[in-house]
Amino acid sequence: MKLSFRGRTALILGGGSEIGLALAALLREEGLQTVPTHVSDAGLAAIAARFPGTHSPRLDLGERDLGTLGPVLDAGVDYLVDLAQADLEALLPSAGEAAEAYLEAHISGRLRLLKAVTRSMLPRRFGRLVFVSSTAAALPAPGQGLYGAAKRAAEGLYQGLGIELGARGMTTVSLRLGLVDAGRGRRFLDGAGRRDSLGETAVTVEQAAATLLFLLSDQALAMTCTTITMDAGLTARKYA
Amino acid sequence: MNQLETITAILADILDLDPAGITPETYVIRDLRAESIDLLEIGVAMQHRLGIEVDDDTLFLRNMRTVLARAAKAGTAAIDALRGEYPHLDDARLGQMLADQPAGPVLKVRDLAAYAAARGGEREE
Repeated sequence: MKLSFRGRTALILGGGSEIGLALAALLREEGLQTVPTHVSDAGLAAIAARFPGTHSPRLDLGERDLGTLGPVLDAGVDYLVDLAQADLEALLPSAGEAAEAYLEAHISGRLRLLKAVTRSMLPRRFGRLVFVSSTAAALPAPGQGLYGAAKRAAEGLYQGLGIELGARGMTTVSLRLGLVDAGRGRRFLDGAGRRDSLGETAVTVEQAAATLLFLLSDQALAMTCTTITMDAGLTARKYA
Repeated sequence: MNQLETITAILADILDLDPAGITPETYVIRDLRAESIDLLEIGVAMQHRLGIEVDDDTLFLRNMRTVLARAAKAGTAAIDALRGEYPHLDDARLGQMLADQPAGPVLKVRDLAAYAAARGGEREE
């Protein structure tokens, strides 16, 4: 099956992550223009190393000013892939100002961003928005309450947008990934011999990126206003 | 094309209507049956085609009932409260709105044009 894409430009939030970089490479192979955002110098460096000369706007969900992302949205984007997520481990009863700022950025800040993105898509009456969520949205471990709550809230925002804007050609889907063998997931797997017991439930970067590519394609547009899980069976069973 | 003509064209396009049937005195919601999703599109189109920043709440008088309720509770004159919320509308128009408000949504095409004029913006040629 050959995938088709009716849009031309994909905005990738968190484009310096391993999944973001792998997805951008796949989209470029399909002939799409990609605009990866970064929040850290490390993210910017990763993008520059993989795709020299690529413009990467800085985007911090906690800041109200969209900065150099503004002109990108003015020009119009067709696809949004949302990999923007910081981690903050804390027990909820001990949550302080940092926790409040985290929720403000990842929920209210994300809403501000989504408002700007969908308004840029509206004149062309097409937009595909994919949120990269986590199985922690449904099954958070102790200390993941903030992370899980932010993911779940974001899923709700994407579902709501799909419901409200479906009649104007915009569709949304959230993909809950389990243990990804990259970044935080890789550090977890490599700790305390977990790879032996949990390795078979790891999702590779290539699998995640290819699935996201499919979710962006015309063939997947009927998957909208919903959340799907890709975790190699991690959350399907009662005990690990 | 001046701002009013552009706004009329936007309304006709989004609501799939004959522009000849739209005048400054046409009610956007009461007559044209614009729904909230239509208003969203109209606001975005005005932003793009007129080159103005648009605040949907102000443009579409979304908070009018809340503003009036708050004014009544505080003992403030209704027209004073509206003047603060909708500085693009003159007192004559606000007075009309207060009288008209019990009959339904008061937003008219001329109010959209007044908002655009107050925001400046570029004429679409």
